Amino acid sequence: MRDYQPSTRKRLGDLENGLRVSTGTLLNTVYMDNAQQEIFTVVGRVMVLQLYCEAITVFAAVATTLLFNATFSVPAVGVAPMTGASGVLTSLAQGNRVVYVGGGVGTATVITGGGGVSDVICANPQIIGSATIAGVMGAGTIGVLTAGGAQTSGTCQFTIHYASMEEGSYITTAL
Amino acid sequence: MGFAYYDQDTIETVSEQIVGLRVDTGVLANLSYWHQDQWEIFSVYGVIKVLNLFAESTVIDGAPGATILQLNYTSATPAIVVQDLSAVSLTLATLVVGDRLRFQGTNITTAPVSTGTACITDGSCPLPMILGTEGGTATIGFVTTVADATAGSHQWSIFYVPMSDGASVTNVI
Repeated sequence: MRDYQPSTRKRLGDLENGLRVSTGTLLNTVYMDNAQQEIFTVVGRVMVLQLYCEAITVFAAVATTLLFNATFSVPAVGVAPMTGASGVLTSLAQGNRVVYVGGGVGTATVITGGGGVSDVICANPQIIGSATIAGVMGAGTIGVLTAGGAQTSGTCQFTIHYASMEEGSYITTAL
Repeated sequence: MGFAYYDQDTIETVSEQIVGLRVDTGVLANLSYWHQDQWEIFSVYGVIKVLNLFAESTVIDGAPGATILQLNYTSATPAIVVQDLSAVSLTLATLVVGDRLRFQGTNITTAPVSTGTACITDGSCPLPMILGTEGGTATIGFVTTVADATAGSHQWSIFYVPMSDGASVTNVI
């Protein structure tokens, strides 16, 4: 049986899934507060291959919904949805994921399968950001808008997998 | 604090293997290039798979008319007259900065679409096409009709992978 080095596994994972950036573990009371929160910074133009929110500890019994959106400072583009809103995240159990599936910008995020099991993933990646024009790279953020009620407990983590589509493009998070 | 950052060289190398090799045109004035005529944008040598192809609006298109666009392919060697790569798009008159007119692959009667929101393209090419001939030379172009654009600019980008020895794409304009 082949024995793969950790670096080999990591590189093959990157090639199959895209480059991964994750936030730390975030308090729902702060980041699912019935308001807009910025999660990732986008520089340049990228293809968003996968994007999801994972329940790290069980959510509160509040009917919060979630959608992903993007806002750009270069060029100036106001907040615009990447997805439609999810179903309610009431008491979302540990390991459940709320998944962006790509495609049309109104396509709802999906609460998938069960704890640790996502039976829906992104099959039609969106292209986010813009080309470099006159030496100025595109710049923006990917955020999350929650509605339906602020979460009162629980924690979550956001993860994105992407590929650069412009020289120098990348995604980061400060969270 | 989040984790999993990459140096820029890794980002570029991994990304090329996912989205393909990228070739851009320069920034093109709509007044010159969306003028109801044919333009060749990329040269193709050999056989390639087109993973994504789009025109991104870099300055708002102020076209008062309803310019529409169709992608096509012409082979010099062997000699093959212009072939459709797509159906015609809807009007380009409303493109704003960051909008992309996106080739959808699939089949030659599938129209390119201007999608989503500025800077958010709702989807990518779902079914790539294979273009070119073994050792052949050809071009990817477009033709615009109905009306001339009178303002704005755009840039084409193609993402491809070679499928024959030495296959490559370069920009013409």
